[in-house]
Amino acid sequence: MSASLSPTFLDDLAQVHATLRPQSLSAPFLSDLETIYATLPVASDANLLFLANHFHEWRRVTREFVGTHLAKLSDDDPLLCPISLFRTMDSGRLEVAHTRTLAWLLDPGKNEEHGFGDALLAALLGHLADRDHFDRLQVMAVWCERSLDGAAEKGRLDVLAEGEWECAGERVHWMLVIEAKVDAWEGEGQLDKYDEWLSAHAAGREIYRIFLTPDRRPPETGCDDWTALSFLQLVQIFRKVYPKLKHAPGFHFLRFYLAGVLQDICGWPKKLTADTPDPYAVASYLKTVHDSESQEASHDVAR
Amino acid sequence: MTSLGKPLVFYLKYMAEMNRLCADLEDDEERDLTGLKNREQVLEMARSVGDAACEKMADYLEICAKGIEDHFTGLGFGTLCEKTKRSFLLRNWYWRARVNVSSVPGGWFTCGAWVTAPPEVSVALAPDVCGVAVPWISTSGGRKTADEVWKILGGWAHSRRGGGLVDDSGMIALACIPIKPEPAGSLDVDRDQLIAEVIKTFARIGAEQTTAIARLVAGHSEPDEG
Repeated sequence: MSASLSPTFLDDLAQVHATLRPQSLSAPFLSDLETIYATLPVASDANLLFLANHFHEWRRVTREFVGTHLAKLSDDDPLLCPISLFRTMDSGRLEVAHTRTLAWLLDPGKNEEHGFGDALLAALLGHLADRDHFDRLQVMAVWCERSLDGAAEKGRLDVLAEGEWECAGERVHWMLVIEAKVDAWEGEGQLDKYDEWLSAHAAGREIYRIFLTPDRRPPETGCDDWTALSFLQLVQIFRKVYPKLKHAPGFHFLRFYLAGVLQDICGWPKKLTADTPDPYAVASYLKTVHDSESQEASHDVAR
Repeated sequence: MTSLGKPLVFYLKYMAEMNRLCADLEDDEERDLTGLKNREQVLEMARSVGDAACEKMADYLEICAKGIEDHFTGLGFGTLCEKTKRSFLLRNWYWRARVNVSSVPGGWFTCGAWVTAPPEVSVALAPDVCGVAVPWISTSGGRKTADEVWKILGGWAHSRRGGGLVDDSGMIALACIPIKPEPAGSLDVDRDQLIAEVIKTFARIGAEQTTAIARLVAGHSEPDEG
């Protein structure tokens, strides 16, 4: 069948079709869009040049800071230590070596071995609870590789601790859980499983959750209460109390451990200089050292 | 030529600075920007550039991923699963997937690609290079299996743990493809060429090698690291 289309039909079709076409954007809209776009910090060549110039100056100033403060470091600072505890065994990034050592370092129950008491645990808890000291810190237990409900296939908490702290009249029963990842990623729903277990076992205690990674990446699973912590931050937290531990039997073990974290996990060179690729991270570490030494000095004066 | 995107090339060139300015912080945490002038303005601009860079990176990795998948499925017995999604690429600048080899029961390995620059990797770059693209494969079974995979590949791959690009003992960096703006000093990089380089690298792992790697892993059959 063939039929010629009437002019009326074609006119109507053209009219309907015109309504289907996207409307052209009005001149006022385009003008406003242009105005608002001009206010946005877009990546124009001029903006990138502005940033680049600021970055060059920032890097120069930071490298200067690093150079000055590197020269002031004490000889036993982990940053100057060429020995990595685990690299000697080709295990510098072996996750289980780190978590087991961490549990040992944090455990006041191992005081007869390391002599640190609760100093490192208190420093870590203080960071999490935003306290610069505790009037009383009691640690009930520290576990490493703790199986959930006694079944390893359900998952294992890398480090688990529990206890109670008091500060300025406040008393808190707490649980601390650390999940560390060096080169691995989370298993499917891994932190969700831990959250479920923690909810069932917390019994009203405050739960401090740490997701420890080289780059402080946020976890893919679990609730929002997991604190992303980098290994560098962990070193800095421990470094604050490091001078107080100089005479403890485990001091050099700690020194080699921290040096290993800096070299094998943070990727810092054994012989660090001011022209390191990331002077900002090194400057951040050096500020921690400077602050802790200033604090020590003021305590000495007070004593 | 499609551009890799100036924001992304800029990010790679100033990775230490951009990482510091764009890192997510806890609510009550202060960003340490000691020594930086005009910090509010710089921070705002850097975060805007960072967001744009993330989008460009995800675009790039998605196209690489398609090419890598086409290669392995094109062998006739490879399928990819557990592929990372765009939301992951935006955050991590890292694509990975598991290659299952249907002709070898229990035979699989992981493949992926990322783009990075110092200080995230410990490699020295030529002055006109601002970053590197790294195609890689990884097997369970740690260093011992990786030793054998290295042999299966015939020694052409770039490096392993200790070479500055990969840290995991089971991982092999297949190549270290320099990201070099043209002309030098600009922020213009040909994305198509960079994609082609990554896909060409994977194309070197043929049917015989894919099957051999899968057989090796199936024989070791150690559980994944948790």
